[in-house]
Amino acid sequence: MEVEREKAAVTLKGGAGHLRLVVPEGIPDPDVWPGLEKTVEEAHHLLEGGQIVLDLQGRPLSRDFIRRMLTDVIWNHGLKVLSWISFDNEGQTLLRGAGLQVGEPLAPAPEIRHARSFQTLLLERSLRSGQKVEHPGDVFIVGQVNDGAEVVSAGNIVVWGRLQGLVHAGAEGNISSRVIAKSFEATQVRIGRLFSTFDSASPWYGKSVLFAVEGDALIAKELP
Amino acid sequence: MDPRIIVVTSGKGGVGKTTTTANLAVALAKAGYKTAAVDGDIGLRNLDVVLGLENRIVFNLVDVVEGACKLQKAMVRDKRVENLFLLPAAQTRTKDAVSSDQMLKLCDELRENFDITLIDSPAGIEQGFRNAAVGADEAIVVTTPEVSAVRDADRIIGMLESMSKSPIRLVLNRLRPAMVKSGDMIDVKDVLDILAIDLIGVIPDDTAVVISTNKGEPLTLGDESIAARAFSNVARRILGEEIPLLDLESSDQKGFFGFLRKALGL
Repeated sequence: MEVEREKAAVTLKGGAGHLRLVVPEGIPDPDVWPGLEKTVEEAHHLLEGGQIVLDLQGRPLSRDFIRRMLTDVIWNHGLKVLSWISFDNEGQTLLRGAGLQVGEPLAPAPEIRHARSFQTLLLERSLRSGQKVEHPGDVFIVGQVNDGAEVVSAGNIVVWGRLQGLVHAGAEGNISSRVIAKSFEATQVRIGRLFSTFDSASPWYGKSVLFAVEGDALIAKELP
Repeated sequence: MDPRIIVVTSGKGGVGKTTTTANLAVALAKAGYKTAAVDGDIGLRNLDVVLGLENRIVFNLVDVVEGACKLQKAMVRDKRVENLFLLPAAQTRTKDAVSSDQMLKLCDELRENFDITLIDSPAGIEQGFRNAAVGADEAIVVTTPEVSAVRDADRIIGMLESMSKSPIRLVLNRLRPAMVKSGDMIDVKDVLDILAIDLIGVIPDDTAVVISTNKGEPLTLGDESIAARAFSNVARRILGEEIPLLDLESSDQKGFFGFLRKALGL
C-alpha cells in the first residue's frame, strides 16, 4: 500500500475575488521560505493592491513559523491577507489568538456577494486524527475522516469514504444542512444545534447514511 | 548504502517503541551495519536498560549537543555485538534541554559515523517527539491493536507526513492471533485500513519480550522465540529484503514458532 505524495511547490491560484497562495504541507518548514520568495517575486504585479488567501493546508504551525510568515513574507512584500487557511487545530488556535481571520474568506468580492454562495470545498485526501477542516460552505471529502479528525461546515458535509471522526454540518445554524457518509462509523453527528450519538451496535454502523433535521429531531436514513 | 536515520515513534506510550528500537538495532548491527541506537527520551531514559548497557554510561546526548564531549566519547559500544553503539539520553534533564537545531546538527554527525541510526522517540506529540523526528529521514510507527493506540498512531502519522518523512512504515506490536480469531482483537487489515501506510512487521505478544526487556538482553541477540524472529524479519525488511510475514496463527495454536507463509490478512 504505497501512499502517494504530491510533488509539492508553493503556487498562486486564482479564486473568487482573491488570489490563493497555497503552501503545500509536503514542503519542509525550512524550504517554504525560498519557494514563497520566488512565487511572490514572480507574481509581484498580480499581488499589488489585491488580496490573498493564504492556504497552509495541514502543516503544523509553530509560533516561529507564523512570526516569520508575517515579517519575511507578508509585511516585507506588502501583501494583504484576506484570511488564513489551516487544517492544523493548534495552528488555528494560534492564528485566532492573534486576531487573524481563519478559514475561507467570509466576504467574497462585493460584485459577486449576492450572486453566488460560498464555494464547495472539495478535499481529495483523508483527514487523520488531530486534523480539522472548517469551511463556510459545503464540504465534500473524497477519502476517510478518521477517528479524532473534525469537519465543521456551515453547509452540507459529504464524506465519500469512511466517516469515523466528528462532523458538524450547518454549524452556523442552517438546519436544512445534511450529512452524508458512504460508510458511517462515527460516534456522533451534529447538525445545527442538534446532535446524536451512536455506537457500533447502531443499525447505521458501516452503512451509507444520510442525516438531516426534521422538526426538532435529527433523523438518519440508510442510502441504497 | 547511504547513511539512514530512522525515528521509532508511536504517539501513545507503552506500545513498545524502546523494545522495538533495541531489537532492531541489535539485528541491524548483527547484519554487519554500523548501527547507532539513540535514546531520544530526554529525562526518562530506558533504551540503555533494555539494551543492558546502563552500567557503562559516562556521557549522554545532552553532553554532546552542548559540546561538553565529542560524539564518539558518548557512544557506548556494545561488547556482545560488533557494530552496535548506544547514545544514551540524559536522565537528569528535561526535553527542553535540546533544541531542533541541535538535533539536526547531531543527526548530521551521526550520518557521518554510522550506516544506520535508530532514534527512540518519547511518547507524545510535543517538542520531545519533534526533536526525535526532526533529523530523521524515515519513520517506523509502532502501534498495538487497540483503538486508542491506533488513533494516536494516526495523529503521529499525520505529523510525520507534514514533516516529509518517507517512508513511514508500521510495526504492529503485541498481536494475539487467537484473540483476533475469536473477534476480541482488531486484526491487521483493520489497522491498515485506518492508517493507510506500509506494514513492515507484525510482532506477536510473547512472554519472551518481557523477560528479555528485564534482563537487558534484546531477543535478536540470539533468542529462538517467535517474537525474536519477527523482529529480525523487520530488520531485514528495513534493509530491503522481501520476506513474507510469519504465520503467527499456526505458531500460536501449536505453541512453537511456526512456518513461513504469506498470510495474516494481507
